[in-house]
Amino acid sequence: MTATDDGLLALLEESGLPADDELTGLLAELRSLGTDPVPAPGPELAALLIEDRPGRRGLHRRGAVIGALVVLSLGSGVTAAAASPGVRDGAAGAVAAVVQVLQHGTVAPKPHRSPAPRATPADVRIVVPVASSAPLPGTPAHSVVPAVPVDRSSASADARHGSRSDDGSGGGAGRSGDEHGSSGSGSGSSGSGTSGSSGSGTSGSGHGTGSSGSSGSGDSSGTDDSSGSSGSGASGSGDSGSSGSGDHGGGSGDHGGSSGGGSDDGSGGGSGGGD
Amino acid sequence: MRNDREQRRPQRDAHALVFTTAYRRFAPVVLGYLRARGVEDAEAVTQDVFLALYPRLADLTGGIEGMRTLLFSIAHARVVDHHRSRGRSPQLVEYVPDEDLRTTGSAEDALLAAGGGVLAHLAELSDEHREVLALRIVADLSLEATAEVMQRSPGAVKQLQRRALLALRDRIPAREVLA
Repeated sequence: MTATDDGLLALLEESGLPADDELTGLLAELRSLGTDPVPAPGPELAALLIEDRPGRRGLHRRGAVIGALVVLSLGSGVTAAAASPGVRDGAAGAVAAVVQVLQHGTVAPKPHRSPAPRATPADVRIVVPVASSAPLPGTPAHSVVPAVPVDRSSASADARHGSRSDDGSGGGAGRSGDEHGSSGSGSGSSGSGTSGSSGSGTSGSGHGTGSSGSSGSGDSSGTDDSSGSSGSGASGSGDSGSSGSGDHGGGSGDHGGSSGGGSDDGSGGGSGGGD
Repeated sequence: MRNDREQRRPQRDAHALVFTTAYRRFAPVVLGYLRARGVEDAEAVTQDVFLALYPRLADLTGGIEGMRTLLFSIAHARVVDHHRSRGRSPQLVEYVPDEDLRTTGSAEDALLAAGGGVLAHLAELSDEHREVLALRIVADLSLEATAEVMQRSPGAVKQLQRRALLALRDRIPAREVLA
């Protein structure tokens, strides 16, 4: 029994009449007169009505399509990342680093599996902020990177991989110099200071695993053979930051590829640790 | 001047939205009511009813039921006007031999005419009976709203409704005999 029938039966009951199938059917037919389609409005009436705007529906549909595409691309990216073991390792290392930062305030260096000899001076590539093309005294002859002046643009280029901040805060990123290469995340929290006397990467220690190996500054990082730590904090020297040394930010390890991020104020962030 | 125009714009938009909603919801019901009341050009009168509703939206109270009552008050007035004007002027129709009342149709024709539906039965009722049934059943108005539209008391409408239902039921045996 439908709601319509209920209403008709209530009407009959209200009038003190018994429910009659014939009469109820006739009343149902009468009620169905009001269920025709909406008549088309005339011009005068149509001017007062709000018309459907298919364009707006199109916009909604377009937005839904764009949203679906975004979700689809994000999903495929996550799937691709999950399928790569290197990315998974890197993600795990990054998460661990973040957890450690949250718990202890700094990132603990990655424990070494073997005693790590310190990088020899021959392994160190130095970028000196001196406007001279002559090598510094004591610079190894086979140094890959000559001492070249580094302007802001090169500092910025370094900062793309390392970290760079204009306010003196340092950020570092490091890598473990193992075969996988890694992208590290460094805190570099202590690399701050307006004087920039020591753009230190000491606490900006790199800690990372993974495959990207792209966090080193310049081209000296992320290579297993060069094994030098490049203190790009020095290259980010600005007004007074004369020695943003990558030595402090250097990684320890076999290869010890590391990097620091320079800043205009001289603060550097160094990081990196390798196996 | 411009501020007045800007202030009135949302109100006008709200009226247009309410009016559109009312038309989509109630236009079929008004059309059915007018057909049940025997209005010839029911669609044109439906348009007139809604055109008369629009300027009164600002004074509308009572929500959806208030709108329904107002709408059928207007429709009722239009029906009364329609029947009055038709009563005053002679109805000019084309001569159709099959519709000549001076002839007697066949039993088969009577049977087919009986299957014409509820409108044929309503046409045999009095005007008040048709009105109360159309308002209560087609327009789905309450007893009180029907009384307001017909300008009677609810008790009088209740009695009128009972008599209308009895008169309609009395038409059913005649159809069965014919069948």
